[in-house]
Amino acid sequence: MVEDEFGNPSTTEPVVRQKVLFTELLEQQCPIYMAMGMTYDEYWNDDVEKAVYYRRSFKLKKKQKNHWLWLQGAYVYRILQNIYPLYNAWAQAQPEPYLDFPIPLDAQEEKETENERMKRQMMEIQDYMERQMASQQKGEDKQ
Amino acid sequence: MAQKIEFDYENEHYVLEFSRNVIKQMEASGFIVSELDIKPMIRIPQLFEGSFIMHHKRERKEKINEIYSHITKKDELIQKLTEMYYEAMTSLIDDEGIENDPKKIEW
Repeated sequence: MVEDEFGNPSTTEPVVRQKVLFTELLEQQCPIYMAMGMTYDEYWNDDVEKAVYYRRSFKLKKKQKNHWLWLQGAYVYRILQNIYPLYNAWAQAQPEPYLDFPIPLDAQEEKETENERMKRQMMEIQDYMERQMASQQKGEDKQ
Repeated sequence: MAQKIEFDYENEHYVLEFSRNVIKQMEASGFIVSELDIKPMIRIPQLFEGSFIMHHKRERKEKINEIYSHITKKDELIQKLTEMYYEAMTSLIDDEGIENDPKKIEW
């Protein structure tokens, strides 16, 4: 018979302590971490802390992939806007060509793209001026 | 890097660490971490012995017992070994998202 702390027969059921075993949980988690890129060997035999970094890296990759998909959608949307007149017989505007530059991803890239665009415009103006001057020169030579 | 215990004994460098595989092996051989406080005479030596499996698999039991008998601050050692053992599990707990939780509880 089970006795209480004073040696009297206990009326309550003895407390059964639950055995804590990690094996099952570790086995359940293994495929999840393997899906994150961790190898079987790394999960079972390597530094246990590696799992933390694999999880963080997986989160970053997921965020990055989401960003790429969003960007792809932005390109498709932009192109549909550009070619919209081709599919609308009553549209007044002309279809626009494909983007000259990729969509800038940050302020630095935006600045670089803007500089490149300005440089290209300046070269076009310079080219136009040179052609104009050359044709004027030809006209004067003929006279 | 996960927690480790390093020391030198008789011109040999020892590194005590747990991998998930070691935990699996220890549990298969009857070790139950939740019984550390109710069966310390059995479970503590098992825990100490298990910490040798990862880097010193071939170490004899007698030598491990000998090392244990020479170790100072045994209470701190056991505490650290228990923490190391639990780390294999806690490293799988994802609580990073909680940083931005407006209702997070600091303790």
